[in-house]
Amino acid sequence: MTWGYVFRRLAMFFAVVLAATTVNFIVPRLAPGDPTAAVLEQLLSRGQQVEGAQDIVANYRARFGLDDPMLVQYGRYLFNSLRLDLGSSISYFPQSVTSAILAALPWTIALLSVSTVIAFGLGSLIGALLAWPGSPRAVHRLAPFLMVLSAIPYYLLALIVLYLLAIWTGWFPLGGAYSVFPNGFSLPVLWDLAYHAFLPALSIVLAGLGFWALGMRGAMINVLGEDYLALAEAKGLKKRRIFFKYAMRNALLPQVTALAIALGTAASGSVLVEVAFNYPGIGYLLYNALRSSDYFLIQGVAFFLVITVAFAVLVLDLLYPLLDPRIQRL
Amino acid sequence: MSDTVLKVSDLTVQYPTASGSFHATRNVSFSLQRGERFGLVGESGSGKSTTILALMRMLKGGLVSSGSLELNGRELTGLDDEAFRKLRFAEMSLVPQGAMNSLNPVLRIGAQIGDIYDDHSVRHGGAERERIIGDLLTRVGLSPEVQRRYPHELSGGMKQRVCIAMSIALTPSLILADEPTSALDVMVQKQVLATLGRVQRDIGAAIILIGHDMALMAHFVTTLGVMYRGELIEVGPVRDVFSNPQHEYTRMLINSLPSFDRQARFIKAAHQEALP
Repeated sequence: MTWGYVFRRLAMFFAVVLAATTVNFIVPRLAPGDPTAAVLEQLLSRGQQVEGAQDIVANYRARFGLDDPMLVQYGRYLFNSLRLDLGSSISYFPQSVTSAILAALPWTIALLSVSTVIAFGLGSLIGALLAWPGSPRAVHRLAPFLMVLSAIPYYLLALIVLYLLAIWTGWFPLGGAYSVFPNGFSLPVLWDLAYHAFLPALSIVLAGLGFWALGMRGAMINVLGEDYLALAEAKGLKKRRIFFKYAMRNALLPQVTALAIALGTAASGSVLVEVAFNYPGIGYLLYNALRSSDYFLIQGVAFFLVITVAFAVLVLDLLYPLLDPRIQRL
Repeated sequence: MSDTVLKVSDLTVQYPTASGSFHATRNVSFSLQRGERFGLVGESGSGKSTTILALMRMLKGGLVSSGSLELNGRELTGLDDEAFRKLRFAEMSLVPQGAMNSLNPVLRIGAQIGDIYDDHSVRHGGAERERIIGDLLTRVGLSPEVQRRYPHELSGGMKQRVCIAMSIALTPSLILADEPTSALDVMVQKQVLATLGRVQRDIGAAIILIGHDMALMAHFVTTLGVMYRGELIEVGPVRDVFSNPQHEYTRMLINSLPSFDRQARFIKAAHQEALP
């Protein structure tokens, strides 16, 4: 891997974060009117008396720096974002937006990274076996089942899973992420966390499995027609080696690209899963923020989501040349 | 040990199709002596590649409906798949047609050659393996350094040389070369073919070369077989076939070669037609 490649990827990462921060800054300011004035007008329209309404608006404008030129506001916003100072949350009031997000983030990252990696790995393996002529007959029977699975929305899947495995059988908890809030990591604590994470993870894995399997199947069929596969067979290599090192290794390349994209949708797509399972992650936080019109928190969550997705893409970009030696030439 | 490396008798390959079975080859028989160079020519679809694929047991969808294949005195048709896998490249190797895409793009050349040893239970230490692969690459006119490269870093001719190096890794007694130079330009074709001929002589293997370039073929092989519509219609020493072709199709193939005096006749004929 060349330093130029690493540098370009890093520059791309910062460019994406900067662009996201800028959009985050601009969008609320495109809305007509003044936030303080809007609240006051609402009060007035209900027939309430507000003494010195003009002064209050002016006061707040000065306090939030809204009278400064746009560029000064923008610079201040960037600087604050850089320090992760995203203001105070309205719905979690004494808490700052940053601390509310940092409390929720580990739950989402742990749940999503584990379940996405499982879905990706398992789905790719099944997809590869679906296309492989030497795989057992039972695997081929999975294909229609996976297609159905990939067509069911994940939140519906979450409800089905919840009903079957938590309400009906009672094997798993209805929601939450822990029985007692964990202090430190011991084996029983980890077991409790895994026990609570199992159902949300299962619904994410099930929903993703079909997507990964079908994508891999298509990529694999293409690779199986390549000349290097015929030569690998002619070389007298063992089937297992041809499958993993020659066929699957190459078919995985487009899958990894898709993984970078999927991580983006997965982060925001987990919102409803977390809501369904009462899981205290980013999705649940965002849901609450939306319900209580907590604009600062919504903005903050969007900012963090962009950063995590950009970071995940950066990591994949840096790993990609290890998977495909041709890429560092670009 | 007998001098006959390969004996093909009455090889018939059929492809089942919706409108009955199609005979890709019909009763093909020939045999090869140690070190012999056997050329197979014929138009596309005449059964040349099918013959080679049947030998390697790599027919996709086709089946050998009759005939026998005897390699080094051993009958191949009844062999189980695992035994056949071990025999590939150890006794009979293949130089593929599409040199450009025949190497795995994500593995270094050294690893791709090393795989052959690993799956044929040939164990080496790390340094020894590197030296052996380096030697192999040197023999086909490449630098030992090439083993650390990826396929996309090599030219088409270099890739085909790597394929030739692979084909002699386990010193087989038979090399099958399916139009090994058709993807290369004319200058490189000659050099690569010369390399193939040299290493083949070095290890004393017999070779079956498929091609449709009659001129290139005439220089390389000792025996020539002509295939037409799935049948081997003519076999003989290359000189005899050229000087005294027995079959009408062979005569047509030879006449299709450009030659100086015929070129003059063509030009003359063209001029006469152009003038009213």
